Amino acid sequence: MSHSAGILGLRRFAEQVDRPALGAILALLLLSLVTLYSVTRTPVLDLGQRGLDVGEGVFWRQIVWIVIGLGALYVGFHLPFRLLEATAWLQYAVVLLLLIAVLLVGGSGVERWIRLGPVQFQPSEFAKIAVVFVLARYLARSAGNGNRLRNVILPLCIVLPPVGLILRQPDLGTSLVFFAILGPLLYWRGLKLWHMLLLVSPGISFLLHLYFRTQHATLWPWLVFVVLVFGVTLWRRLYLLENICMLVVNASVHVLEPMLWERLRQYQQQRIVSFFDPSIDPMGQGYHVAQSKIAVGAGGFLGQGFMEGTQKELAFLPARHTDFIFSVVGEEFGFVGAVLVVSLFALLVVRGIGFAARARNGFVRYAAFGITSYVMFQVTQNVGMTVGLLPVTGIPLPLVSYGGSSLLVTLFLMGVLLNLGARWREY
Amino acid sequence: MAALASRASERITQCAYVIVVAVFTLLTVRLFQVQVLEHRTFERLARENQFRIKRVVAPRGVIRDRTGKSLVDNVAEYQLFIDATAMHNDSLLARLAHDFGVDTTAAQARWQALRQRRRGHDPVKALGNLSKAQLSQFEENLERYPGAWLDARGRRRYIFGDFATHVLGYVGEVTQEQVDGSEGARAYRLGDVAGKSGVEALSEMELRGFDGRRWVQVNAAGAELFELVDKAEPPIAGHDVFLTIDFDLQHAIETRMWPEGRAGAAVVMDVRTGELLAAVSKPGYDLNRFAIGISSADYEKLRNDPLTPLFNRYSMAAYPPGSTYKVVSSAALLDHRIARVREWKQACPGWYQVGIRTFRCHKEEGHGSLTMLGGFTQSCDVYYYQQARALGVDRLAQTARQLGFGARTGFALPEADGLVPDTRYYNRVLGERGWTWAVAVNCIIGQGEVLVTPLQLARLVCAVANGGALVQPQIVHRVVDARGRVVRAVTPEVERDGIFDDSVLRFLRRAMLNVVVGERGTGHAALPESLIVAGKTGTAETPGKKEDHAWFIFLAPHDKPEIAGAVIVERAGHGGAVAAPIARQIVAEYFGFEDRGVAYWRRLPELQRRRLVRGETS
Repeated sequence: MSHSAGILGLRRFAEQVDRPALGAILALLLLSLVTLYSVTRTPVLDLGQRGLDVGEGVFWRQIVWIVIGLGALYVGFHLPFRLLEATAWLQYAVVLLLLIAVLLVGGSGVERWIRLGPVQFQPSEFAKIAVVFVLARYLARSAGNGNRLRNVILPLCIVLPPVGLILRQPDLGTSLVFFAILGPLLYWRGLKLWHMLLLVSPGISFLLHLYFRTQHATLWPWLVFVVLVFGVTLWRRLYLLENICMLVVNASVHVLEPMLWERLRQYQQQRIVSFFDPSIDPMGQGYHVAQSKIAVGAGGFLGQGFMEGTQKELAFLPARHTDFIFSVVGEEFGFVGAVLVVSLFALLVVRGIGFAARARNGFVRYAAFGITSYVMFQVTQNVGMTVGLLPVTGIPLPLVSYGGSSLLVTLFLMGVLLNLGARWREY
Repeated sequence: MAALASRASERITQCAYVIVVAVFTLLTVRLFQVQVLEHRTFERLARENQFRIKRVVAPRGVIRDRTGKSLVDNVAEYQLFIDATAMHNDSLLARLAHDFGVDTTAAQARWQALRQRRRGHDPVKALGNLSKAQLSQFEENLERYPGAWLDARGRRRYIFGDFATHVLGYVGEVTQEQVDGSEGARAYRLGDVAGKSGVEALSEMELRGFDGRRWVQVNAAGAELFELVDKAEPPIAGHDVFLTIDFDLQHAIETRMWPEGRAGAAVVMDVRTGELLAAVSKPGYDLNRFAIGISSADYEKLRNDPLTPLFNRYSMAAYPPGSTYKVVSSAALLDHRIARVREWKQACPGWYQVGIRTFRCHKEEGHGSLTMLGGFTQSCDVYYYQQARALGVDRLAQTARQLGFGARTGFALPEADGLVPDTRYYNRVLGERGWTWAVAVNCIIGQGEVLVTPLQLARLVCAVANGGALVQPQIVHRVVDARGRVVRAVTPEVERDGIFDDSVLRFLRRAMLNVVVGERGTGHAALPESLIVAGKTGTAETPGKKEDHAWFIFLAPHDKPEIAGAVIVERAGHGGAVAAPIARQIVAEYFGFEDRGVAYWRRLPELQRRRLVRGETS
């Protein structure tokens, strides 16, 4: 496009890329390597055997993935966004097929991977890309009042098929990500926060019903909530149909919740219950959170120092190279290090919203905001989990956690985000 | 309308920023709360960290004799450990030093060694082999020793103390090199025990099991609160090793038969399989001292004992074979056609002159004219001296090597090569002009530079007994896992078959029989009742003016040999007087009849002696 594209578009990249955002991404990748090095280099206390050590291979593989991922970022930066928009539905269809293939190949049990020759990947990771673009394309082209229920239902219908397929795998955490993309995008179209609250009210209603039924054997708080929701619908002057819908959905939780609960896998039930009451299961999911908190808390203000953390050596820190890597950061680099990581993500998110806000093209506005929301959600969920604010869902910390598919997808999306940020002037 | 829309979207954008900032602020506040405000609490929690994964060391396999009798097993021993986090606690260390005599500087040194290897969080061993009094002192005052705990481990117990010292071997703490050199699931850790010598070292990988793990919650004092039973991985015990040793036989040799205060060795083998039924090296020492941990003073005392109990004599000691070597010499003379069995040689006057040097026969008045049978039976040195020149040192060496001397036997435990000198050897050691053919005069009677191990000699006798197969000596009979399944069983190995011509074999069998039962034989003391033994005495001169080594090699029963062996008693006199009686008792013990003393042969009537010489059993 540009007459001075330079070799492989390097000059355009150098001139147009958003430096703070790129800097934050690179800093986080570096931090990932430093932390993984520490995790893989310290043998587990009193174990040293039978696979509780995180092998050194993890560190080297992460380097390889980062190199490949940076290539994906570069590709993402140079892809014309109109191509992404034009092929959005195609991507969506391919991803759905892959998700179905995973279920068929995997048969019974937990199966999230597809093997292609030497490479294995998780289609659910790629589903995030497709869903972001499909939603962006759909929302950019749909007119009408974003606050009407039917204008909310249709985007929901786009999200539900992949969510359903991923839930069958079963992967509760990843399926939540799709709602975390959908919600902010609806808001970005103008959905009022009150209405947003009404929209998630079935979810809250569900949790309240579950919590009070299982923990306190009472349903009064839930009933009060449903009545409140009904009050809000009246106050916000929704249409009658919408009013009735909200009421029916909230009330139906009473029947659906026990049904769904029974269908959850035992470990999923356990996660939820132990989040309600960690003391009932000291070695279960609550235990993981407790250990993670101990690690983070033991870090103190300045941390134990690089490679000096003790909790990761005790092997009590579960998945300390993947989902709980932030605990290691917190332990070894302390409050300073943890806040640095959080700040880098904050910088990235703020830049992302900036890109979305200033863009003139509808697709760019929505796609940039969707990608940003995706990062925002994962960071919040992951960090919140390690410090005991949110339940354990198995969502990795983007750019920092070990994991090929996740890193590749995130870096590609970062490339696209930088791309969208650089082309905000285009209509 | 456009202005309205842009104002609305501006509000949306600003609201989004507010939400983002709010969420990140919330996370930061939470981090501040956990990491700064509640830091001390979590630091304490981390220090005390509840759950420990404790290794459960697998019990070491039991070593048994061929019948299954336990020779080495394990007993519980309590050890005192200090948690790495408590190593800074000077008052705790002081209390441990005061109450239990813990060497705190040594413990600190261990800890530093661990830290250098990035295992600074491993528990530090402070004391081993706690007494009952120490146990109760610790357990009744747990709160006095926060950060220290007891751990029970299996300690090696050598049930019969100094029994078969040089077969069983001992265990000891692994060295730094062993720790560094091991990896994977069965990696050693400092403080672990491993075989250092003997079968303990030989079968280390089989005796050692697979360690297990327990997840336990402990309080700050180190006491276990509860265990997560479903996470436990029980250890897998090591395999039991069955030796080829016959306990009753070896024990009888070591205690009943052995002359008090003498050093020496005895080897008894199964002539077909090469299994060692007894492998004695005297004196031995109590292996338990090593299992408990021998003090350096005690170790020095053992090392400086003039009888060298640490030295394995049955396979590591190379002795001059003396007249037992006439088995080799005779085979060499026959092989190279220097002498024939029925050929009468020049009379033995009791001495033999080579240049200005006089070699003496052991019988001063001389043996008179002899055939080879006579030379062998009466152990006439002059008979062999006379033929040394014609044979030459190289041909003698060639036969000796053929018969398995001068090289290892393929035994699994450490052994010596021995020495079979030849021209090359003398040229190297004495220079090309530094020696004459006269060296052969010494070699041919098993003196001079010739050195053999008792094991090599016993193996040679096996070959005489089994028709000429040089078998490989075996020490491990079978290896059996904890469920009783045989993991490995010994397979007899023949190194070389047909090492003797038939005529040579016939001669040797007859000659060895004559030594024990013949009228002028030197080995009468080896003849028990109810069974005929064949053998050869040896009286090896030793450097210096000390007493000679007494040798006896034997096979039994003469007509259908089952066992063969070699006995040497160092600096004890004549083979026929000292070693032959031991051989007789060995045969009696093995075949299960009562031994009634030396004089049996002398009590026999003339007629019966003659029948014996003809090989007839009475």
